[in-house]
Order: sequence, then structure tokens, then C-alpha cells
Amino acid sequence: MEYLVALEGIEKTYRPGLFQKRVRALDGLTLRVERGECYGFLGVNGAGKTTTFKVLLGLLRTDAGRGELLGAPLGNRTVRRRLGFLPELPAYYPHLTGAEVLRFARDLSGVPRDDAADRRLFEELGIGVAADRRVRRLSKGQLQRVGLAQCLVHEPELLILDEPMSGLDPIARGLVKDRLRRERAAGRTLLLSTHVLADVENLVDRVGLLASGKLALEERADALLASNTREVVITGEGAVSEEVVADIPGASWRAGTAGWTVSLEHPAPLQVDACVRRLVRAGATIHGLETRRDDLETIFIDRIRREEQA
Amino acid sequence: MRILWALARNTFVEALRDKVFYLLLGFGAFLFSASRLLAPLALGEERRVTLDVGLAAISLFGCLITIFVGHQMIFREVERKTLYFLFSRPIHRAHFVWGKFCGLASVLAVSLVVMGALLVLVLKISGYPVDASIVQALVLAFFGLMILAAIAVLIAAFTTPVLAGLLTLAAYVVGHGSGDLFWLLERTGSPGAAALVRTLGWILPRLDLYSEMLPVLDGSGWTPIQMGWCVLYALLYGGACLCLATVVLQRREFTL
Ligand SMILES: Nc1ncnc2c1ncn2[C@@H]1O[C@H](COP(=O)(O)OP(=O)(O)OP(=O)(O)O)[C@@H](O)[C@H]1O
Ligand SMILES: [Mg+2]
Repeated sequence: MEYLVALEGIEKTYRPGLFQKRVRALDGLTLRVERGECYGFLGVNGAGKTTTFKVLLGLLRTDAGRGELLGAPLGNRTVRRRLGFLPELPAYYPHLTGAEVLRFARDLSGVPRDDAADRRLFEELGIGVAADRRVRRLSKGQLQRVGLAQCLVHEPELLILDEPMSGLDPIARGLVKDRLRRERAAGRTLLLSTHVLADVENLVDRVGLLASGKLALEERADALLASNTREVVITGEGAVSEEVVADIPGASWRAGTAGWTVSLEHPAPLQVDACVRRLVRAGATIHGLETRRDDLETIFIDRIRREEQA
Repeated sequence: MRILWALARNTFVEALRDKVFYLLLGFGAFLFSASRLLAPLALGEERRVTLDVGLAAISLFGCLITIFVGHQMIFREVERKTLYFLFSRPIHRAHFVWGKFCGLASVLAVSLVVMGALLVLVLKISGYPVDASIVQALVLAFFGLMILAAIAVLIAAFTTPVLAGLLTLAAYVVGHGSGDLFWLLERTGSPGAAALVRTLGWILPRLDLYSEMLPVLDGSGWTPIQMGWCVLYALLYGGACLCLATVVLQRREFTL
């Protein structure tokens, strides 16, 4: 397995000044991102996500632990040719226009200039106006997308994005998410931090939850969702009454507008199967079967609560 | 090379946008008023006074421009978080340092050309002869400012803007006084003083070498060998400062 990001036991304490309080931001963080995957890096405010990214960029020294980025030790310069980074609250030289920012980015990353492609990229992200407008005059959401554009121009293998959707309106979120999906489809590796789980649902392959400086939880996104079937709702009609399901644990029967609904709360997979068979044997016609899941957000809030209680 | 060019150009353009060249207007106004007001007071020595004041003003305004551009040039990149844009790319700290320096150096070069031209203009208007030694003096002033610029970059690499400005000014003052300081120390004749002179001689910038007036005033100029030594010293001293600045930045953490 090839890891484009590999951190092992990273510790980082901020020592702001002689008499100021130290902050232990990372406490033995181990994080691996495989080539080609999209990793959602979650955590509450102050969990240490941005700190992790600064460590990856070599802007901060670590107190302990080892790390590699794109197969080279942290701080290696040349591999950053293959990296795109979007900081939280991105900021660029206020006197440059959007197009000039991208040109500057191309110069620094050593790829040929291509103004037409830059303009297409802006259009695609819904900020055609940013090309000729100075950064100083861009709105927050426009600037955020200029930030995304500047980390895409050199077609990097690895994208590290610190809250890519922050400050974006729903349409912009859609555009950005589409673009990120296409990056993933093109085989790029993504590591993105976020609070808004709806933004990364259907995008990330794996999620990790950072809590008090280390990974509290890491799971495949689909597994996490599947293991969290809140309710299965079966709708149908026919000679089925409340008594039929009375002895199925967690099942409840309700009369509906046409026919009835049977819902199973937190069922095990076999339980669903057993229930459907029972209904069919009783002479029911099944119209539909719906699985209701908690979204990632609910799952995480749950876990965080449990963490805090523990 | 492309990285260096891009960084230097950006620094240069930023300096322009900071209205650094307003300082040049200040220089022009100063020079013209000095030549109108001061020179007539020096009976028979008008050319001498104009040249003297002009070259001194060039050096001083060069220093002001260096401070103006240099004092916040690294701090601002951190403050504004634009360092993310740079350091997430294949840029070495040395690229950054040299890019900043080259940007500042080109601002100074343009300024010197303008200031030198103004000085020549004033001399011509007043009907004084202009000879090659003035060009030599300007070239030397440029290399003197290169030393100061490298010092400014080094200082900016580890301090806050206000302190950086003050320290750069201090370097300018000490650098110009260092010749006199050595002379005084040597005159004391004690062996301790001699050792001190030798040590300080290696550390303090000899900016006084770049603002000698006599060869211009009497029109004798500098020999190529003298010029060569001055240029070599500037390259070595400036290079050392920039290397040190690179090391400082490599060791420095950027919490942004
Ligand atoms: N320069 C600094 N000096 C001291 N403490 C800091 C510094 N930067 C961050 N911290 C602290 O380190 C911890 C982690 O901060 P970090 O910015 O990494 O969090 P985050 O997960 O990115 O949060 P958010 O979701 O709000 O962006 C926080 O407690 C923060 O207060
Ligand atoms: Mg953050």
C-alpha cells in the first residue's frame, strides 16, 4: 500500500512565549492516507486539524514522531511540486488579480503558463469575474474558490484542503464538490478537513475523527454509514395485522393510507430478512423497503458525546 | 530561476504599490532646495557642496528606501498568511530570501538611477562639470546599499517590523561610523583594542567604504582595483547575510 500522507506518533506543543500557556495540539497523531483515496479529516474547533496540515507542510517542527509526505520526509522541497494546498481562510497578494495569482502559482510550481485554462477553471468554479478582479476586492466565497483554483493549476497528485467548503453558498458548494469528485475520479488523493459532514458525504472514502490531538476514530465512510442503520421501513398491503409482527423484536406495525408500514429499529441484517419472510408468508404484498440512516454528522456527534463522557 | 524571478518581481511590484517611489520625490525636492539654498552659502565651493550634499542624500534616501521596503517584508507574508501560498510549493527558504533580496535590490537600483540622474541634472543646471567619478560613486553607493539590503533581509527574518526598521537604521549608522571607530580604537594602541578591531572588522559592515567623497570632489575617482575590492567585499558580506537569513528561516517556525 502506498501512502501519500503518513504520520506516526506526531506530537506538537505550541509554546507561544515565556509566560504564556503551552497548548498541546497534537498528542501522538498517527494518520495515513492511501494513494487515490479521499480522506475526510474531522474534528471540533481546536482539535488540531490545521496544526496537522502545518506539520505536513513543514511549517512547524514536531516534538516527536515521524512523518512522510508523498514518499519523502516532511520538509522535503521537491515533492511539493506534486502537492496542492488550500489553507483555511486563504489569502493572496491583494494587488494581484485572480488570473495573476494563478500565473504566479504556475511560476512557483514550475508548470507552463496557460491563461485560457486558468480562465476555464475560474468559470468552472463559478468565479469567472475573479480572473480580472484584484484579490482585495473579492468576496469571501470568491476568494475561497480562488484558493481552490490555485492549488489545482499544477495538477497535483495530492490535495490537502483545509475546510474547502467554508464560506461557500449552496451552489458554490455543489460546484466545488463536483470538482473534487472529478479529482478523485482522476486518481488524485485528497485529504480534507471539515466540520460540515453533509459536504463530505458521497465524497470521502474514509473518515478520521481527531479528538484531543489524536485519531479517536477512523473508518470507511460507507461502513460507518451501513453500521448505522437507524430504521428499516417496509411498506405493503395484504392480510397482515399487528399480531404478525408482535413477536419480532424492535418491529412496529402501523396502518398507512394504502396498506400498512412495518418499521424495524436498529435491526441486524438477518432480522430484516426474517421480518420480510414472515410478512410474505402471512400473505403480504411488499411495496417498498427503505433504509433510514443517521448521517455522518449525527454519528459523530454521538461519538463525540460518548468520548466526552468516557 | 523562474521561482526567483517570480518572487523578486512580486516583491518589486509590492514595493511600488507601497508608494516607495514617493521617497524619490522627497529626494528630488531635498536636492533641489539644498542646491538652491545651501550651495550659494559656500562661496566658491558651490559644486563641492552640491556634490557632497547630493551624494550624502543619495546614501541616506537609499537607506530610507531599504528600511521602508525591508522592515515588514517577511512579517507581512506571515501576517497575511501568504506564506502558505509560497511554502506549499517547491520553494526553498533560500529562494524566498534571495527573491526578497533581489526585489529590494531592483527597487534600489531603479531608485539610484533616478537619484543619480537628478543629481547630474542639478549639477548641469548649475553649470558645474560632471565627470566619470560621479558614476563610480553611484556604482559604489549601489553596492553599499546591497550590503544594507542584505542586512535588512537578515534582520527581517527574525524580528518584528518596528524593531527591524530600527536595527537596519542602526546598521546603517554603525556601518558608516565603523571606519572612524576602527581608527579611534587603533589609536589607543593597546593590544586588546587591536584584537577588538580585528574581530569587529569581520563583523561590522564597512559601509563607509562606499560613501567616500574625496575621489569625487577632486575628480580623481577610484582605480579599478579599489572598485573591485569594494564590489567583492559587498558580494561576500551580502552573501553571508543572506545565507544566514536562510538558516534563520529554516529554523524558524511559522505558526501563521
Ligand atoms: N500559534 C498558536 N499558538 C498557540 N496555540 C495555538 C496556535 N495555533 C493553534 N493553537 C492551538 O492549538 C489547538 C489546535 O488548533 P488548530 O488550529 O490546529 O485547530 P483546528 O482543528 O484547525 O480548529 P478549527 O476547526 O477551528 O480550524 C487549539 O487549541 C489552538 O488554540
Ligand atoms: Mg483549522
